[in-house]
This record gives sequence, C-alpha cells and structure tokens, in this order.
Amino acid sequence: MLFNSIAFLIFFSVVFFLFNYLNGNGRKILLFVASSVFYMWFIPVYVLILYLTILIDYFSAIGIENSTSQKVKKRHLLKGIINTCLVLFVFKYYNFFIDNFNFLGNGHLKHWEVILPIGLSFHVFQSLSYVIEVYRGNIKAERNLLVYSNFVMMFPQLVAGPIERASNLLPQLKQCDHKIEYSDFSIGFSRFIWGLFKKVVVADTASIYVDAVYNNYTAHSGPTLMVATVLFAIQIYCDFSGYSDMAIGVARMLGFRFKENFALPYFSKSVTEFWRRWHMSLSSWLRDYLYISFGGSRKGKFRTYINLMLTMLIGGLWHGASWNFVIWGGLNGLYLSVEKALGVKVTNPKNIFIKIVKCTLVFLLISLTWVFFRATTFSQANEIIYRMGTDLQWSNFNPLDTNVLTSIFMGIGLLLGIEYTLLRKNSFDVIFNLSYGHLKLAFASLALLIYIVLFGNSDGGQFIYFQF
Amino acid sequence: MKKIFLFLCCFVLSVFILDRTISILFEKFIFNKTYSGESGGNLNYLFQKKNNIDFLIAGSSRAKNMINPDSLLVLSGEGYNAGVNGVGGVLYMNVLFDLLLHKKIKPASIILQTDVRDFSIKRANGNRAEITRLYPFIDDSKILQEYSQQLGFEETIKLKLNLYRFNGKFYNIMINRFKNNSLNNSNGFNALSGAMSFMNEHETIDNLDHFDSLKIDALNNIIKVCDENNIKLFIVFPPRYKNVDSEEMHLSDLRSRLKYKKECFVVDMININKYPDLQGQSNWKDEAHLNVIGANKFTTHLNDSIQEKLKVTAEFGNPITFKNIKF
Repeated sequence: MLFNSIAFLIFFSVVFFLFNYLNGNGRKILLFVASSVFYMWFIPVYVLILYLTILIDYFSAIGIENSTSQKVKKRHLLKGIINTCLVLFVFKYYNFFIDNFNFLGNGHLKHWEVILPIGLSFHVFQSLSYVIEVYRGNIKAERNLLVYSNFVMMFPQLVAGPIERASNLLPQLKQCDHKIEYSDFSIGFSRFIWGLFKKVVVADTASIYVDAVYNNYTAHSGPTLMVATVLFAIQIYCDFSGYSDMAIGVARMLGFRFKENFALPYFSKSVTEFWRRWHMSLSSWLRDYLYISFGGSRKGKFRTYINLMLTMLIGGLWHGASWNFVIWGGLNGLYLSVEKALGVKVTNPKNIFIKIVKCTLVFLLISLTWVFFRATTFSQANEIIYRMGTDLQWSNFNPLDTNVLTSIFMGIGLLLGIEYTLLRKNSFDVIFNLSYGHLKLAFASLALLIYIVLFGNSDGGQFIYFQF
Repeated sequence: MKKIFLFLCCFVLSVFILDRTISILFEKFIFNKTYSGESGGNLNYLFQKKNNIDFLIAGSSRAKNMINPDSLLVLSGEGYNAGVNGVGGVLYMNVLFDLLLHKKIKPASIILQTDVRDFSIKRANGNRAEITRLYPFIDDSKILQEYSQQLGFEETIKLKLNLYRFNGKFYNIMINRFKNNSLNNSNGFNALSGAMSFMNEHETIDNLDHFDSLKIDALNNIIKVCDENNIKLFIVFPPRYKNVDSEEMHLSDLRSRLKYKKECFVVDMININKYPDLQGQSNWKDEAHLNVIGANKFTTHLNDSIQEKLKVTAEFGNPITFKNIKF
C-alpha cells in the first residue's frame, strides 16, 4: 500500500480511529493486523517471509539472553545473523551471485525468477540490529512475540524505513497505552502532508524529465544529461525523505516517535556532513555495526580509509544487487576517505559565499554518484558520464517540454524556499509551539494540499526505495 | 480526541470550500478565456471561436504537425486541426467528438488520424493520459465520466475535488492565458521546422495479438456517432520515415476486429514506398513526424486520396468502408 494513495487514506482512517478506542493488547493486535494487511497489499504470500525473519531473530535474541556462556551466546547471535542474511541472500543477491559466478567460471547456472519482497533490506537490518544489541547487552530480549513483531513490522516504517532501533521503538510498543495528543496529531499530520508534497509534487514530476532522458540517453546531449542527473539527485531525495516524512508523520499521529532520517542533506558543506544528514538510520547502522566492528579509526589512518571504503561498499550493495550500487558506494567511500585524509571537518563557515560554494560542490559530487544509482547498467552510466564530460555546449540542451520543466523547477523552488527559510532552523515541534503554531501548521498543510492537487503528478508510481 | 475530530472536520471543510472557490474563479476568469495551449485552451478556441467549421482534423501530433487544413482543397470550407501532442488516440477522440456534439458543433467531415500500433494492449498504459487530458470538460461528456470511472475508485474520489480536473494543467493554462493566448495561426496546424539529424534504433511494431478492447470500442463508437450525425469520417493512417514490417497486415487485423462496420472512409497511406517524394530525410523532423516541407507534400497526397475516395463513392454510390475496402 502506498502512502500517496486513497487506499492508504481509508486504511489509516480506520486504523487511527480503532487505535484511539483500543488499549494495551487491543492496540498491539490492531497494529499487528494492520501491518500485515499493509504488507500483504503488495504480494500477500510474502508476509510469510517477514514472519520467518521475525521468528528467527525473536528466538535468537531469547537464546542469547538465556545463555550464560559467552560461546553459546555467540552461537545464537551467529544463528540469527546467518539465517536472516540467508533470507536476504536468497531473495535479493542469489541472481547477482549467479551472474558473477557464471561470468567468472563460465558456468551456466540459471536465474531464479522471483520478485524481491518489498522493503526486505529494511526489516532485515532492523531485525539484525536488535539481535546484535541484545548480544551486546544494551537491551533486553523482548519476550512478547506480538510486541517484537510490531517492532519489526510496524506499518509506517515497514517497507522503506526509517530503520528503527529497538532501544527507541520497543519501549513505546510495549506500553501502547498512551493517549493520542492533539499536538502529536497536528505535528504528524503536517509532517505527512509535507512528505506528500515532496513525493508527489517534486519527486514524481522530476521523474518525468529524468525518465525521458535516462531511458533514451543515447539521444541526449551532455547538458541535457547533466540537468537530468541534477534532477534525479533532487528526485531521489524527495522520494525517499518524503517517504520518511510520511512514515514519521503517520507514526506521530498514532502517538509514536520515530528517529529522524534526513536533515536537509543537500545543505551539507562536506561529504562527511552529507552522510550524517542523509538516510541517517542506515548510515548510523553502518557506522555502529560495520565501521566500528571493522575497527573504525582506531587502527591507524590507512586502516581507517580501508574501513570507510568497505563500509560504503557494503552500504552500496545493501541498496541493490548490482555492481552499479557497489560503485556508487565505492565513490562515496572514496570521497569520505579523501576528506578524512585532507582533514576536512564538519564546520559551519560564517561567510555565506563560502557556504554556497561548498554546498554546491558537495551537491555536484554527490550528483555524480547518482548516475550509477540511476543508470541500469555500468556501460550506460559510463556513457552518460562521458557525454556529460565531453559535450558541454549548452546550446544542445533539450528541455523536452518547457512547461513541464518549469513546473518541476517551481516545485523545487518552493521546496528549497521552505527548507531554507523555515525547516533549516525549526522542527515541526518548534513551529507547533510558536504562538498560533498549530494554526500555522494547519494553514501550511492546507496550502500544500491545494498545491499538490494542482501540481502533483497524479500518475506517480512507487517509491524508489521500496525496491531495496 | 474531540479536538482532533474538530481539527479534521475544519480541515476537510476548508479544503472543500477552497477547492470550490478557486475552481469556480479559475474557470470563470482564466480557463474559459484561454484559447491556446494543449491543456484545454485549443479546445476552448475550437468550441467558442471555431464552432462553424466545415471539417475537423483530429489525432495525435502526427495530425497536428502533418496535416494543413488550408491545403485540403477537396473539402470545401473552413477547417481546423485539433490534433494534440503526446495523446490524441481514439479514446481522446471519442471524448472530443462527444464534446463536439454536446456543444452542437457538427462539421461536415472529420479526418481522424490514427496508427495501428496504438491499438495494441501494450500501449494501454497511455490510456490514462488520453483520458485525463480532457478532465477540464468532464461535466460535458458522459463518455469521459465513464472513462474516468474505469480508471478506478481512487480516480473517482480524486475527482470529487474540482481542482483535480486541472491537475498538471494549471501552470500551462495560466501561462497561455497571460501570454495573451498567442496563437500561431487560426487553423490549428503546427508545422515543424528543421530536419531529422539522427535516427533512433529501427522500431518494430508491437505484437498486435492482443488489441485494447477499450480502444476498439472507442473507434466503433466514433464511426457510429459520425454515421448517426451524417458526418463523413475519413480514418487516415499516415506513413513513417521507414516502413515497419507487418504494419499493413495489422491494419487488416484491426479491420476484422471492428464490429460496427458503418460507413467511413479508410485512407491507408502507411506504405512510404508509395510516396517517393516523402522518402528523403529532408522531409522529416524525426521518424514519425514530417517537417513543414514534408507536411505540405503529405497534405497534398492526402487531398488526392480523399478526392479519389469521394470520386469512387460518387461513381458507385457506396462509400469505401472498413467492410468492403481492399487494403
């Protein structure tokens, strides 16, 4: 079920009113049923895979906690990690493995024609973090299967994150007796509309131009490909952060608080800062469970760079079973390593000119990596970069449809305006607490909704990150 | 909870009031006075300023850019080219003809440009765009209302908001209105300049084993409506820069799937080899569209073909129909 659909609006209205009138276990059962329905909306039978990963990690965590010997604890941990990763491998990486195996060994192993369960990487990472945290002794194993199931599969974050940590979400799900406050509802509602605006107005309209150019890239000039790449950078930001905003908003309306996932990443003055602001729940996951496990920066400079590269390569592979994603991760790892080597610090220069130059440079560097993310093959990405690097005649720029392009830039302008002037300094909570804050949020939501009706792409498709 | 409920009620009410107010004002002061652009402006021009035309050209950009009404001398009187870029298939045309009748506009002849490939079920993903393009006129067309219902429950709900009719069109309409409706010419024909500089990979026609029944029904209805209203209907299949194997054969398939074989003229111009003067690359803007030089030559050929059809009809008393034409 898509957040940007009428079906979800009806679904959520029912869930919201039932949730409000239920308490304790009733709410837990409702969340479980609602989450199952939400997931089954895509491919019903795949909910069984979800249940399987839940059971694997639920029992692994209890096994870890019940064991007194470190050796047995470790065995349970490995059991949880290996089994969960096995599910991921079978559905996501098997065909990739076969391709490479066949390529290297001239084998003829066949593909397994299977559709990737939606959001598999997200809930697998969420489950894994839970088991690892129990092993590290940072949290207690959850004994109530219903509560644990809701932690993994709570519908707002089930298919595209944020990848929640057990320490944040489990205590909230355990109680489930909270009163839904007007402030929570108002803030969550506005957050949802803001996410909807990002998705439907900016991401989905930008995709019209991006798809037209990338799907026929041989017919387009360097400048056209450059504009399409820049628009894709904005599209993917609005698509994914829009989803996160909606997820956080939906959870907040129900009285739950998720961790933030994006913090205006394109205002970053370095790539290091960018990765502290982009998909924060994944980057912190990679930092805590991979980078630090590899040794982090504790084993010398050279090893730090290797660790950074390794972490980002795996992060790339997490996104998709393709060498393009690995290269995308590798490029980001390279940027981070170079910045580390140059001693670039996350600072906030006072000079506005320096700020703009740095932000632009980071944006362009990151946009270049998105070529590998958007292109379907390595050769396509290479050709696009080659054209962008060699054909610099702006007279060759093709706007396709000027009116469509202008509408896209109007949406982007509005987005940047609101982010820079308002959201850069104030969260939705802060705005709500201003005098007449709730009215300001309501009017802003109303205006955005009218804008969405008039300018949104009503034919917009799924969220890009669903495929991961 | 009471506060939340109150908030929701106020919000929904505000959306409703704003929607109705903005849409009424927009329609009255902006949209109805917009006479250019493909978000409804060119149709306003047709409905309001060209309601006495003698013949109408309808179809996709291949009609818009390739058929000059002023050169169709065989059809006497004033003509208007209502071809539309991007969409312009039979679903769009079915609604357009419904709107024409609703506005009591009855040209003596209609030239409907279409392509066989558009009837493939594989092209059905473009149906939505054809249908939604005419949403600003939804109140005036029962066919459009039915089509919108076929898009699903979500679409029906969205259409409860009047502003949704202008979704994706608002900016275009505003621009056209404030550019003072700068029409290039008054006959709707939009010739393309420049010549084809490169060719895409050779196109192959979709397998037409599965026709889109919605489009077949739409074409049937167009033929029926024209027949009932005594409008001469010419269905034109223009050529492409390179012939696509089996396209002519698929035309025969298409004919066999039409149930309502009422009188209409089929102008089969698919085979480019029949028109040597159109074969040069200098006549084409791209593989599917003739430029201004090619368009004028093509219109002359079309004029001759129509003349030929009318001549045969006059001699034998029966028009060339889907039923008895030899392709």
